Amino acid sequence: MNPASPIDEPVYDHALDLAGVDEGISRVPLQAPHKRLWLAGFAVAFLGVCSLFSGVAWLLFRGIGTWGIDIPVAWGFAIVNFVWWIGIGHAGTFISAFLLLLHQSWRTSINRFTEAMTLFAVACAALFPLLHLGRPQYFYWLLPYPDTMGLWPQFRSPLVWDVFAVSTYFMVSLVFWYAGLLPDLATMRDRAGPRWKRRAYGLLALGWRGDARHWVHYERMYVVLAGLATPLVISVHSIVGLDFAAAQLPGWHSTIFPPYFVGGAIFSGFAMVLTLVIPLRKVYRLEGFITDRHLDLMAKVMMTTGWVVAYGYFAEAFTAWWSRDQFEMFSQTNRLLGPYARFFWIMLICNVGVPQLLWCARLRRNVPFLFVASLLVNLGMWLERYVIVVTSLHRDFMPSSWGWYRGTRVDWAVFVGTLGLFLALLFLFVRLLPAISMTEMKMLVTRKGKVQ
Amino acid sequence: MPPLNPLRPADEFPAGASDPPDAIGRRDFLRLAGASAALAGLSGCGPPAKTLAPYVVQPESIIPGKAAYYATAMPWEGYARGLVAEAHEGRPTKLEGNPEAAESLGATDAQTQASVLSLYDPDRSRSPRRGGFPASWDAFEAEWGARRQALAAKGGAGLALLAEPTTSPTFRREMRRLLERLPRARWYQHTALARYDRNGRQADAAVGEADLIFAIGSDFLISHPAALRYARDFARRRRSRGGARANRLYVAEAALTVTGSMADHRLPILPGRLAALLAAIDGGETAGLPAAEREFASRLRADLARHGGRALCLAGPEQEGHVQEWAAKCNARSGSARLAWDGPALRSDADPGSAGGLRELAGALEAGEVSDLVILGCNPVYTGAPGADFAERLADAAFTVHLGSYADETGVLCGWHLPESHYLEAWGDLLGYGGQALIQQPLIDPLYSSRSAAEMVRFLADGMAAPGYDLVRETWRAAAGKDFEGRWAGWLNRGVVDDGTRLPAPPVSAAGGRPEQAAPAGGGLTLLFRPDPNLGDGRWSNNAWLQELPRPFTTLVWDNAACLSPDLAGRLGVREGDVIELSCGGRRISAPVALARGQADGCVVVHFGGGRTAAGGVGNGRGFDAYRLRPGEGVWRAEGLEIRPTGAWQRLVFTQHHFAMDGRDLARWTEPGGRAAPAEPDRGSLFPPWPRPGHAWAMSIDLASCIGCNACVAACQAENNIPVVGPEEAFRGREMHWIRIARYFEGEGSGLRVAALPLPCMHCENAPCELVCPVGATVHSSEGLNQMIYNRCVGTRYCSNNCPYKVRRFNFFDYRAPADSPVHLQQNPNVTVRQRGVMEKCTYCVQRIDEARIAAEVAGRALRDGDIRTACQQACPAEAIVFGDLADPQSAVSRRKREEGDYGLLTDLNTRPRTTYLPKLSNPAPLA
Amino acid sequence: MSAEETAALAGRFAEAETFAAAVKSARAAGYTRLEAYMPFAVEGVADEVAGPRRTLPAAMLTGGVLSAVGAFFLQEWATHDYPIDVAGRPLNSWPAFVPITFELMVLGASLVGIFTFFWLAGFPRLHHRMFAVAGFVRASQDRFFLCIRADDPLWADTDVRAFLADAGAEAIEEVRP
Repeated sequence: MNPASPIDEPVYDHALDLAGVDEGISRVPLQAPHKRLWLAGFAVAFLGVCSLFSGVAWLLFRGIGTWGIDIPVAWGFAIVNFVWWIGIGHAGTFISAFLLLLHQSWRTSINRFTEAMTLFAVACAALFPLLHLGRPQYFYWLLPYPDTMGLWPQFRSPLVWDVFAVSTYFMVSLVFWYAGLLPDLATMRDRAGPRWKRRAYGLLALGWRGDARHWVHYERMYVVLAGLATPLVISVHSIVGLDFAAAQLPGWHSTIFPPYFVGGAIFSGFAMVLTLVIPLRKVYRLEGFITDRHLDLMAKVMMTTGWVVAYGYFAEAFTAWWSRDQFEMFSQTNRLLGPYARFFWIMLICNVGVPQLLWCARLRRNVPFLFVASLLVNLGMWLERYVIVVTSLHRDFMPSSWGWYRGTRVDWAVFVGTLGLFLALLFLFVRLLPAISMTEMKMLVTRKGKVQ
Repeated sequence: MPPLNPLRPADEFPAGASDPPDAIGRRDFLRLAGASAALAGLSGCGPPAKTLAPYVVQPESIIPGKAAYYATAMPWEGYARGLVAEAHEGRPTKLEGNPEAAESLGATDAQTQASVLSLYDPDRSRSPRRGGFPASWDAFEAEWGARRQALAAKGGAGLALLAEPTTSPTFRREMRRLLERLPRARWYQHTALARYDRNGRQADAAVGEADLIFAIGSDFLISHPAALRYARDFARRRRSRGGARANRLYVAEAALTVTGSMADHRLPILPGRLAALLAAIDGGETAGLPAAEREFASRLRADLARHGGRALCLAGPEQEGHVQEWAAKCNARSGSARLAWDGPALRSDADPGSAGGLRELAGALEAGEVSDLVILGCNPVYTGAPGADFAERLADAAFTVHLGSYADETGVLCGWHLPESHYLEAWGDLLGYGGQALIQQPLIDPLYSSRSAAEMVRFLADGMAAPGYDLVRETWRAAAGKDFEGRWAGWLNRGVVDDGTRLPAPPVSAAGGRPEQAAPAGGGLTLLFRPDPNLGDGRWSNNAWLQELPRPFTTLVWDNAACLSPDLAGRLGVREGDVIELSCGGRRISAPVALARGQADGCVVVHFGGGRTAAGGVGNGRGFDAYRLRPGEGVWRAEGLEIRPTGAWQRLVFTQHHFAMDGRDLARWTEPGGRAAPAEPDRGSLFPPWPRPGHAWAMSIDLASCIGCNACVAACQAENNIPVVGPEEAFRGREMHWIRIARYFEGEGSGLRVAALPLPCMHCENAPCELVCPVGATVHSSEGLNQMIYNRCVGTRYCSNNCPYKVRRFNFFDYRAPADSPVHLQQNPNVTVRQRGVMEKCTYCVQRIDEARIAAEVAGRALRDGDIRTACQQACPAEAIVFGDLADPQSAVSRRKREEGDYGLLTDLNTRPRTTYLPKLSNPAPLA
Repeated sequence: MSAEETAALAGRFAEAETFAAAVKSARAAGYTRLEAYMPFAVEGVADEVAGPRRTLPAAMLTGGVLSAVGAFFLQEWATHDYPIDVAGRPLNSWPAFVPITFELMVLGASLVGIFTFFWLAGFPRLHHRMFAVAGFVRASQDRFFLCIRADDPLWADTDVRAFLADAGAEAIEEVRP
């Protein structure tokens, strides 16, 4: 095999030693380079947060009618954004848990960051199911608690499954992420200069000493958690897929949805990781940890999952045609040719067209191109959910009830708002915590040469 | 009597209301009822300024929480619609047809249903105004006293009264009385709507007897004083697929009407071409006619011959004289006297004592013959054709008075405006189209200080007020002879004068009648004027229910439009919503275009009721004023119309956007004796059946008899406290009607087929909506009702997404009226008023089910078939809707569902709907 | 004599390999009261010192199974506790209960896992004698510490110092109690 093939290529800069790793990674939170740039970025993100608050305030004050939804299109932006954000979250868990089990050492440089991404994405996603309620003040009626009227949630409804899936997903991701952080928090405690910083990190580190008795349990727990998170990540988006598949609406009622949604989730997640990691490693000069090889591998995963999605589109259309069911067939043609067809075609270009360019190795190494491609895929995946939700609903069984949908200013304010919230949280994370797992990097460095 | 104003607690009790008299007469009762009504409206308005006193002696028959029903009558174009009004704690909330009344037979139409809302309209005039400033009746009485002296001196010369034509014996008696006292006073009459008399006679027909009906531009199924009776008779002949032979309906009309949508053979034709067509039908000389007309004429000619004696020809009141005559001749020729006959004209516009219409009045004003003008209950400044330019003429009278429910376009121009009582507030009497007399008894004391027209006339004549109650009794005491009180009680009880008591027949002038229309100049397009299907001549423009009620075939709401056939629009290169300028006879207006399927090419139809400027908060500025184009009173057609696109575009709001079924099996057709589609096999279910003992509520809707008149929609709105959402929300597709009528069109031209498909909740046994609700806010009752539990609903709207019939409605905003609005008084206390963020939908009128159940239990008997009637069923003039217990094989609904062709919608989804349909009937003539 | 003041002796190593070797030889030399501190888990060392442990996986398994069973029966009970006819579906719609059962199993297992871990590791514990040892801050970065406690049967101050020095410790620190 030719020696230049990426497989032999290291997943980090071999000039690094233990001290180098700590220095390279912990300087970002501890010395906070590029203060101005960071502040500027955070300010922009914060504007988004303001838009979120104003949008939500208006929504709660005036009511759900401030959104574009109507009858028949009773779901709109909220559900689109919810599915989109959850999907983005999935890449994090996939990278940190799935690839860990597969002993993909290249995950080490990015898993911490992507786990954080997961947490924040899920946080954004979790907003929407609450906000999209007609009476958000009663969201807790979806939880099983001893109600004075003796009522319980209706456990056959996929929306109740959602509640459990999303909350579980958030908590498990949090546990997994924090567990991974523990040793690094100790490192930060021991490296931090000012006393208050040492205290802060020390408190978070809970007194981690790197004792063999810690490690022996720690490693077992970490592996089992990974083993749990892997099926979890698959189940979560399958359940989100079931929100649609369980309904009998043409365009929703399709058995392909769960796997196709999981594929799409990982697809969009990896796109988002690329979108975030490319500027990050540039600004903070982390190329030594996040090498071009990482980008290359992520591009490959994106391409593969892109095909899963493409198959999903095909399978939907095919089953519709195969069923000869006039409603199913109509909803497909309506997608291709109806009033919302342009969204469908843009989606197809972004999700099926663009990834094909990644066959070309040179493009996979072309960082600016990857950045643009990842943005396009993000857009495409948002449009995919828009197409699924809106085009299926706006023309269903009864022509007399056909309608239309368009998002309002409030819809956009809230969506843009969640983008702002997501970025703001990421900025804080990069500024306060090690964005790459120092412990695991050090393990890698000492195993120099034993990689692969 | 002191006014009752629900908004101002201070003056809310009539003096003595809190200490009930020892013997409670109806008026005392009504006073109390009124007080409690006003009181009921106060919930949420904080404690009144005065102390509230409870009933010391419970007034007879008013039990809190129990509805009371009283027979009354509503004036419809001056004729009676017999009603039974439902009152809760003294406030009328719902109107039903009076089964005793020959012209309503227990049914109602949309306008009747909505009229109860007008009673509580906050924009109603609440006090007299002088020169636009609030005044009092005392001030008016004083001023009139002086003028009356002066007028009396000259025998009433210079006094002119303008009123709507009516059949009310009391009003006409009062008017005659006034003319006797002031012989030189003049009585003019004005209506913008049709006249039903011709040479002192008015035509009537036994629609049910006819095997063949030929309607020439006649919408007799919905817009006619006898429409409810006609619709009932007509539908009965359509429904019975097995028994009596189905009748056949030919319609030749310019614009699609409800009647036209029921036709077996329908010909869209310009009024200008009617003469040729009718001649061809007479003489069989069809050469030179276009193919469609030729085919129609020859087919009809043959059919008429086949049905001699059983064929009925009806010409619409808007049709010109020669059409009327042809219809009369046709009936005479085919020996159908049994089916069609003439009676004396009942409405006062045939009264010889009347000095004419608006044009005559305008002339008199111009000639300076009128010093004092009193306008009773009509709005000539708006409804008068601009030819009479009545607004300017008003200035010619020194003293002008307007009595009306609203300070409308006329009211603001008159020196005095006086509030007129709503018909549910005033005593009166009316005649049905067939001549049956009905007593109009009030359900409530006037909410504001208002008087009825009859009371007003009496006051004008004598200078002193007399209560309408006494006036009506005067009228009838004379007729009743002995035992008046006994008979009177019976009439009030039944609402109709049915014991043979007759009033002297009103005088009728053989001359006059429908004004002959001048032969219009040719060239250009034809312009047709029609009353708005919902707003009539504009009197309902401030009624939000009717504004938001979809127009039958365009589903246009909150606006009126210039209706063009799609072909014509294509030729003119205009699309729906494009604003065009219509110019005709030197007058021009701009109006948005609406596409009207089934309309004859070469004509434009405009509807009255738009462009109001002083209708009130709801009606002002909605649509355009079609009267601006009308050459004169009673003119329905103008030729030489020019159209110019203005390039502007106006957003029109439609509740339905797609009118083709696209090959989906939704509305079905069948022919008499034709094989109906085989009933779907029961696909069975994977699940064990739920034990559903006891009743199994279900509904059957017969498309063969449903005429699509929207009465059910309005009735549901009135019964179930359904809010209006306004044009903005309706545009978003958020209208709230629990039952909607889907309209589907097939074919075009003379081959057009129209289906009206009423869509209430299907109450599926395997309801898709229930499965996806996360909180169990919509679940199934043991009797098979798909129930919506509002206070458990969190508003995920998943149920609506999963409802294949899209019958669920969502409160996107708080659609309730402001807390201090009097419209709350109309609301049904047995139906929850829904708050923001909850889903709602048709409940099969569960409140009525429970009411009947309780009544049956109290009576210690089982529920009987027919005990329960849903609001839509009760209102339906065509008896198309049947509701009942499926568990009882003998119930009407079970029998209906056993009929051949009974089918459910989208049963492939195994939703097992409890609402099923019978196919629409088309009964074409065999090709001769 | 000085055994009173000295709780243990800590050898500081710079290289993971030497450290691992030192741990092995210490076991070989018969030392039983050993403590090892390292910035990351050097292969073998943890098990060598602390011995392989199964407690945590076992705890997580139990937690998972219990919450799964609990979740399923919660749903079954809830639907039967207030029986409602929903879309004509039977009360025991067990397939619909599977997703939540699975989710709660994962949740239970994970939470039990992290808290058992805290308990086993004695967290939170912000003060420990090792923190007082000079240069122990490096233990979380690039240095490895092997401690031989004074309560070890073979304890003898000088031997232990010698042993650690031989093992390649770059420095030897006294751990005060």
